[in-house]
Amino acid sequence: MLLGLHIRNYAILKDFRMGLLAQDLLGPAPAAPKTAALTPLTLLIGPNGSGKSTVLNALTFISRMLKNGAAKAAEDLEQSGGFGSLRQYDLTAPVGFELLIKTADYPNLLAYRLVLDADAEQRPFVAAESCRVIYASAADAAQVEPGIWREQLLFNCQLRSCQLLQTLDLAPAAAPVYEDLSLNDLKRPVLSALGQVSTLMPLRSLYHEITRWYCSKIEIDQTQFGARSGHQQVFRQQLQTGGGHHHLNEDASNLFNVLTYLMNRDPEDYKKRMEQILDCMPDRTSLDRDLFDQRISGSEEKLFALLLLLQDPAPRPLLLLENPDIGLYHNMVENWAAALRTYSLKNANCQVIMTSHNSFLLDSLAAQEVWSFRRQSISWPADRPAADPRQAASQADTIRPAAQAINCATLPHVAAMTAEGVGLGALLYAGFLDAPATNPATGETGTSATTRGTD
Amino acid sequence: MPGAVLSHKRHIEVLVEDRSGGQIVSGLLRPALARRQAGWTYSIRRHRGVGHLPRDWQAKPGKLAAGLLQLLPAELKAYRRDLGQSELALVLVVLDADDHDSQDLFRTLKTLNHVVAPELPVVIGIAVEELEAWLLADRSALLRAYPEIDTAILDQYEQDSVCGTWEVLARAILGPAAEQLIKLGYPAVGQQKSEWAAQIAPGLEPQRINSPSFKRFYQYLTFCLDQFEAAGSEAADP
Repeated sequence: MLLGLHIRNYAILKDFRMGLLAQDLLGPAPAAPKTAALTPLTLLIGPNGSGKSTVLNALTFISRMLKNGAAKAAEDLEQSGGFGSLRQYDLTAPVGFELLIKTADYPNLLAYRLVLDADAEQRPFVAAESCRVIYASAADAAQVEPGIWREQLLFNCQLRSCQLLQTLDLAPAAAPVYEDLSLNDLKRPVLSALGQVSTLMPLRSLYHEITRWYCSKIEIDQTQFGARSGHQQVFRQQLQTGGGHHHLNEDASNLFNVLTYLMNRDPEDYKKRMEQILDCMPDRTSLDRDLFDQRISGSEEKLFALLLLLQDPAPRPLLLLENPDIGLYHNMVENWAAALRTYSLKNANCQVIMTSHNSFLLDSLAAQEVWSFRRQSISWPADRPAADPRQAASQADTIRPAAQAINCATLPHVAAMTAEGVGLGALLYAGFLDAPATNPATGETGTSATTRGTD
Repeated sequence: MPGAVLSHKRHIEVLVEDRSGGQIVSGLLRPALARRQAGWTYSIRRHRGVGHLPRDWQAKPGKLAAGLLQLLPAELKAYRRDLGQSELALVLVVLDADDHDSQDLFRTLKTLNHVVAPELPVVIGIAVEELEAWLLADRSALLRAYPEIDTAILDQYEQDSVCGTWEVLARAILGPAAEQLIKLGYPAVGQQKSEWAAQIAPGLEPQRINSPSFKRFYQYLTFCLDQFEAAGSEAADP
């Protein structure tokens, strides 16, 4: 479970925080209310270009880096221009990631930090990396209260020099002992290696968890039924040659392979899972037959794939879903949202972080599960909020966008409104979920207080 | 005024039926509030239409409820909860009477206020038939937005009468093309109303608006704002 993240200098995520971080727990109890952690179901909402997809891309990037190394992960980046163009602000400042994670099989929290820099040819390498255990006594750990937590460093790398803890003992008699290591290759995070060989159980657990994050972009095949023979050919080939696949891949093109796997793995279980899926499909009478004759529509296939994803017998610790509702009719969205909630309740260690604009999806979530994004204009490098986006503060400053996210439960009136039964969809429409910005000139509070559109 | 703590609260929540209602009220509030020195802010909360008041005011709204009246009891209760710890001074509810009796509607809403949220100051504005009646009452704003507007049609309109208000505005602005729009009905009508409201609203001046229904609303609003400001300055005095 990802409890919080802090990303620096990654595209529009200049200094971007969301959720709970190690420093929130380790520092003294603050006067302000405590930061909300990310929840098992987390929805990112906000205007286009406000950074939501960038957050999903950044998390995918981290996972791929651990699996394949920084170079390969950078190649696969969605960002046009690759790694070099990620740093929109400061070409010299490194790209930083900080995560607070609770893995499924290690009882304490883990704070993981990864800093990337690039060489003269804009090829990325790991500049710094560290991992700490964040723990509290058994009685206190139940509540997420700051001030009673402690940390234990597992490893810390600065370029090629690395200190690695020899034995993990959270109640040590003597000071912890670190081994000095020298790294050959800065192109892979050290966690990639340590996660596979270390005797430190939390590192294995962390590596296992992050490398199983899954990013999904299931799109609808718009082609006509008759003309989809090419598509069907691919499916049939896969069925014959590919064998069973355990997990649905990113674009669900291995859908039938997964069905094959499930069928062979446990036919009774397969029948049950298919029942559960078909129950959520809007017109299930002909679906059984149509699915395998490949006569169903693109949107039904997408819904089926999304439901199949939730039926994975070995579900991933984190699903990153980009606009899962696109192309789906409203009652399909409602059905899927219900299946999503069931999935989350059944799989306590599995998290879903998704983006959407859909008010039907919103209506199925609680305010603290929704984060509202806003694109703020800042004056860089002076790092001040720009008073008027059209005026640079000085010649040397430029106006750049920076993303910001706020938990909807903390927005004015949202908690009271949801307590009284007003749905999040209605609150979205009325503007309650817009991350606030006041225009002092008109006195109107709202996201875009222009004279023309007051919404 | 209900016994609320009045000092230093300077935010107004405005509940409207739809986008064009929001634009009209925004256009009216902006000059009215700007004239006061007290730093008032407001937020427009639009809904998807008006719907009907639920039968049971204590119950939670139905699933996917989206109309102003459908959500009103819950929203008033929610604002009442937040009265103590926010800048909220009062809530404005502005809607069309449509084909209801505006006196009846007004009384019902007032009762609702007293029953579910007695401590919450609420100002209710009901336009006879439609909010466009208020636009029709400010000739200068109309001419500023649409210099070619058909003033003969405007002259024929009887302020605050139940006569097909938005059709008058449509015919005055669009001329013969209005007939096609009238035949089309909603939602094309809703979109056009939004357009007109957006054009006309910036030129609105509350003190020019001759509509009796508007004047009643505006006078009461002014009275409430005065009360808040007076209480604020009393509290500030040592």
